Amino acid sequence: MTGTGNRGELSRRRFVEALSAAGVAGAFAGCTGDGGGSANGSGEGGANGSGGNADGSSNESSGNSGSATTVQLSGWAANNEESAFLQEVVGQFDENHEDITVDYDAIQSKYKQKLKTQLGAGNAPDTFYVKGEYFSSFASQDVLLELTSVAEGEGFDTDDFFQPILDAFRYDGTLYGIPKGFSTLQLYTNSTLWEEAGASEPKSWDDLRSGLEAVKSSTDVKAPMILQPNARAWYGLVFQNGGQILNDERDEAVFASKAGVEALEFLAGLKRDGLAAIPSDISASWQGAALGQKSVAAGITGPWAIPFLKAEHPDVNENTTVSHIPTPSGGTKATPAYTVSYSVSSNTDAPDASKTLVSYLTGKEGMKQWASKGIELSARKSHGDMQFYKENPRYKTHYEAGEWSKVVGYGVNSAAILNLLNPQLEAVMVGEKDPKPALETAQEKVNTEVLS
Amino acid sequence: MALEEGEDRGDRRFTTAARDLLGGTRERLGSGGDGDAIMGYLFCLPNVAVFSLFLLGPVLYAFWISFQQWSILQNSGTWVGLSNYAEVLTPLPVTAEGLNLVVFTDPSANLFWWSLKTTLVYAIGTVPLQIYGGLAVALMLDTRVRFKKAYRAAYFMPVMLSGAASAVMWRWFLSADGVVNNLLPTFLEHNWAGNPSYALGGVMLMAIWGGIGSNMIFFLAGLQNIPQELYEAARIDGASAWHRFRHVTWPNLGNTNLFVIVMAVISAFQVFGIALVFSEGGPYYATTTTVLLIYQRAFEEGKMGVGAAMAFILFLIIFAFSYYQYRHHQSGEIEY
Repeated sequence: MTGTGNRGELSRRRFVEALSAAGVAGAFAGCTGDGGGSANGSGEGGANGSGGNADGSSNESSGNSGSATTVQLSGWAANNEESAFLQEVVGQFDENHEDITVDYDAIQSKYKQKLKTQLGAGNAPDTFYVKGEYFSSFASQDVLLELTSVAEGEGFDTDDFFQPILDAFRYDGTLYGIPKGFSTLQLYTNSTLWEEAGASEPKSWDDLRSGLEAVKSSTDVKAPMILQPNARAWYGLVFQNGGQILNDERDEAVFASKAGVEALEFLAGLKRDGLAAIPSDISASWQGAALGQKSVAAGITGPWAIPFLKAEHPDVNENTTVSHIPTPSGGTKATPAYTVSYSVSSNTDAPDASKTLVSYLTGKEGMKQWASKGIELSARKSHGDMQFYKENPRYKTHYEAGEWSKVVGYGVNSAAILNLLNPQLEAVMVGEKDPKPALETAQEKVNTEVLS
Repeated sequence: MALEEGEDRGDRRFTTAARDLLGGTRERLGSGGDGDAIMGYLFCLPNVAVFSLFLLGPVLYAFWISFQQWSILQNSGTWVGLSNYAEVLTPLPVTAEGLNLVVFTDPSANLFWWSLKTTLVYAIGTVPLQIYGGLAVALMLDTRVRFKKAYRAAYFMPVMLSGAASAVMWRWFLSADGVVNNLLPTFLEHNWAGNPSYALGGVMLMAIWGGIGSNMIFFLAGLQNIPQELYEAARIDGASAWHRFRHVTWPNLGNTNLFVIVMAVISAFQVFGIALVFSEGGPYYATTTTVLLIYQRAFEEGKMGVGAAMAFILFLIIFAFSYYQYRHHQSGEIEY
């Protein structure tokens, strides 16, 4: 009995020990598993945040191909073709730079949130995309490496860039990003419907209004034009009308000026008089879809609408014209622009190699290659005679507006300002508020709660 | 009878043997002493470790962040005391001059109080219908109905859909020329997602549709746990269907009811995904719920401290409600 009892005791004890050990191991496995996932997300080549002393190119040898430095490059990709094409461009860089290996890894969703977390944790990629809209909030917190040396590099020629696009990546006068391309918003019109209404290409706000009135009376579209109930189109119209969003020092909101109110009154007037609709009025998710479904005859949108129309609505695409956004009488040309930079983490272990990569991708040849398929507009003026723009004049219309474009960005507190401004603009577009009090409320809130 | 007695004796023998075995084990391990305690702790360790690391730790960290001006980019902050809480709560709905109800009617006055009102309206509009709709469906499906399993699956289907997918679907249904407006008489047609007066109604409709199925499952489980003897006794006493429900079913569903109410209220106060996808908090703040506002402040604007402060205020509100429900339930508990 004793023997049996001892065997039983021993067995039970071993069982308990084994179970406990398994539990503890399981708990730690959970931890390491998660950590491993994070590590993979931030750098498979181990080039990131752990190797080297960041004190020169000789220490940038944390990669996995002999003495070559590995640079991790991250961004988003709209589709697989875009991702594959960037991989191809990067492959060519690798071939020409034996001492540098690029590890490209696209973040497919929630890019900004993931990048912010990675930067905070100190394991961000070496080189990554930064949107102009939130660039200042990154630069102001010292997480980006200044790229003056890239700009001053031999043959780089910063004068060749559209200055508004390049300047979008300066913070306190210092360059922290080089544009990889840009997009502008322009007026898309269905020329068949427009001609049916007997209207000509609108050059001014008055032309646009009278053209839409003609479309309304002569065609059976759900609404002559589609407008987003936010700051997108209004942003450009404010500048056209001589106004500004922030003052020159960017420390005070000034958009409730006469120019800003008139611009909003013009857009709200189109909506009020049945000449424009917001997406939810006509069950369309965005301007491209509304144009493609022939629900509207006009919309203000970016060059991303062209491949969409080509693929989804080829018949409408053939009759879609792109022209510059009409200006008010006595106003100036201006259009909202969206741009993205290649920037380098201030915490990188491979600063020199990262700068070399950025210089290549944004140089004359690299950017030409990138822009040659229309994925993005080239930010360089010398690319205006590129074959692609000769063959695709609608892209050329978007491209040439780079000269007078106004990059969408509201400074260090861009998101906070937009979260106060957009609901007021939305209230105007759905008829809840009048333009003047809505803009004054937003301006007062921005100045007291965000910029004070 | 002989068989039953034999079984009874057998059971007793088994129970005695089990008691001996456990007693022996306790003695060998040191009954009531350190051995038991150590083994208990070891069994708890994995759960405690994972809970502390991935739940309690982050919650305490967020509480600490709520007293800081925190930068997620630099992963550091500056101690600001209660100023995040002051920023969130002021102006208060009650001041020295009296009531300041404008904070509930004008989103420009204070967006947190506005969002809390929106969340409360959402909770009042959805929770009773989710719960009692779920109970009604469970009562119907607890009877002899043909195709019972098909009905159960159909009612449970929305629970299996993600909130985002449901929101996209309902946005189509409720769009200006969507199926809902096509079914309604002209004077009831609305641009549900695009009109500040109706957008919250659209979100609530979606939540009720999704909530009935999950509550139905809990009530069905509760109904099947009620002993049939109670119904038989009630029938013998001549109780009508209503009286059987009132005096047998309802009191016996007390625990299920408490669970369902607490979970439904917590879920209502935490509404986020469907409001974000359906209308992004708009139009003109019509669907800006508290958690959506927390998301905007913390993750869009980078004000992690303010977002964390809002989260803890919301936690206190939910905790107070859940505790009140628990105490209220305890005071009315019936034992048979």
